[in-house]
Amino acid sequence: MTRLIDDLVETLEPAPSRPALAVFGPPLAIASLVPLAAMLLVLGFRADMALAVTGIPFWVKLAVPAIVAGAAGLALARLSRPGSPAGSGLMIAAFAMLALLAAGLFSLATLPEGLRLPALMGSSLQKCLVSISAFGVPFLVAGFWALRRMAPVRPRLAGFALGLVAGGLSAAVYALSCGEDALAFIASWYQLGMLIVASASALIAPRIVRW
Amino acid sequence: MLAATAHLPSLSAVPAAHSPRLQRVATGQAGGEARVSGEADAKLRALMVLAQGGDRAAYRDLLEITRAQLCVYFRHRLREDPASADDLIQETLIAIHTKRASYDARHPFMPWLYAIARYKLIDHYRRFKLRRTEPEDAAGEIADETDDTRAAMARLDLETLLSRLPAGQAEAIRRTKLNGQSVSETASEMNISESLVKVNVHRGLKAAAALVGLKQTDR
Repeated sequence: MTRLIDDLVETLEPAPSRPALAVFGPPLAIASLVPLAAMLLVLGFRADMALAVTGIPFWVKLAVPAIVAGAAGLALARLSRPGSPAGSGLMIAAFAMLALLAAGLFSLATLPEGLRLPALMGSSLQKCLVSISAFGVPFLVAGFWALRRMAPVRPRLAGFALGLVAGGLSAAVYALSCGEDALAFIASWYQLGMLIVASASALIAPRIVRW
Repeated sequence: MLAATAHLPSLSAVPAAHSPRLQRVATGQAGGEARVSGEADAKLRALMVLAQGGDRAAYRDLLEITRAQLCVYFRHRLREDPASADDLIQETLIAIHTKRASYDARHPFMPWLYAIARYKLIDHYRRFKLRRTEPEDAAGEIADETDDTRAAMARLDLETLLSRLPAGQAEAIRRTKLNGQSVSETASEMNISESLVKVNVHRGLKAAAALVGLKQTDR
């Protein structure tokens, strides 16, 4: 065992602690080029963009996923270091998602009965779920690459937080292309898409980040 | 490349006033983790920050103190299995080494250390459970095979075996023994030193041999 300590000491090189933003930020930023390019080339911006930016739903679609990603990122930063409790990041993310869900339900309740189902189902449900899930993959790849350099002692929960970051970013990218403006649609399917990415990430995390 | 050449005198580099007290705290009470004072933690934190900056003398002190603490921690929890306790002490020291950049000096050191120790302990329990439940399923099926399937089965067995080793050891064996990479390639790709690769391969093979031995006596 003294031999081991000798070895470890001899191979010591400077390894300063880096802020989580410096560890996860650059890879995620680079990864964002893939879904952004896919969105631009395959789907294109929404046709009525000039009009949409004057309305609230467009910004809700950007802001809620961004808030979820940011809050989950706070949790991820803590979960990637041993000895730090998860903190309130995941609670904030859950609160944002539940608030949007409540707003979605409320908007449904105010609609005449015949319009409720069309508002909820929209016309691009499948495209929405597939795109958000697919756009999440590059973010997950980059995020896991970074997470493996850290030391999560609760890999599944760290994976879930990372998945919410990836899902949130991916939903925000997709929002630039998506023409749905019903709150009920956003509250249901955007959030389901984000949860799909997060669950998949939580499932695979223990195998990927073992150390 | 191994350390025999460049020895730093073990504890002499630390200010004399500090180390004996730290040692006492470190080796003291069973269960250890709760009893450490804020002052002692501040000193370990300082040593860790120096180590992150590349200070080998501070690093050696930190590892010696940490090892004593880990001895208490693991021997207390694995009283009936001292061999595993020793393995876990080593694994945890290696994890401290490879993950040393994950320590953030704004937080106390002990929670970081014990979170890693607990992680390794849980990993051990998980592997131990696998080891006890899985072999029986496979035992009956290996009776007669053609040469074609034998190679595939061997590879599968090997993967099963590797999956029960600590990740670092399995990775080192996979690269150097199965994929034919050199020690230095492996070292640079795994981002660890060559001697650590050798340590990992050696300890992994030893552990794998022990696992196989266990399987045979089971039957």
